[in-house]
Amino acid sequence: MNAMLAGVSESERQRLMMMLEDMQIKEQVTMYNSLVERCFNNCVTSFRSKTLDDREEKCITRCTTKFIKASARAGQAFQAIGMQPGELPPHRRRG
Amino acid sequence: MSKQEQEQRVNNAKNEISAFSDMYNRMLKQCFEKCVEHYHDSELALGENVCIDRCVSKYVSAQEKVGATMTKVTSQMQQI
Repeated sequence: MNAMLAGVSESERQRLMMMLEDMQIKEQVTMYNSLVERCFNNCVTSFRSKTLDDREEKCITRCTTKFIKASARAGQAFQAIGMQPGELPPHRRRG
Repeated sequence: MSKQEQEQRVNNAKNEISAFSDMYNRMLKQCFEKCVEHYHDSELALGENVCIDRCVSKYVSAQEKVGATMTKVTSQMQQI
């Protein structure tokens, strides 16, 4: 990313950092919401009571834990390929 | 460098990062859905780990293939 920002002033760089922080927060919320949706969908199938039963609660915990572990694993696999932010394949690069 | 050029560079960087992270999150979602089959326990099974590794690698390859094909086909269509 540094190469992309050659000649860009400190205040502009800071503006970018703020935008990135903002994006990160939004993404975390999206990720959280989609994980809730996925685990709810997979773990909660009956509506005989209004509280999560023991089985459902444990399933949700396992589902969440597993997703976090799977994300970490995917991150490692991704890095192993040598991909990093700002290093999209050449055809994706512009300007 | 002019203020305008600097803003352009910052916007380009932001767009690139946002495209990258969108792709990355889609990949995570796809690979989790395709590779993790049950929630009987909270550890990833060996097969699930192997699947995730392969899925990530294939996703990146597919991304490159789509991009290359898009570029090729689009330029062919423009020549007609």
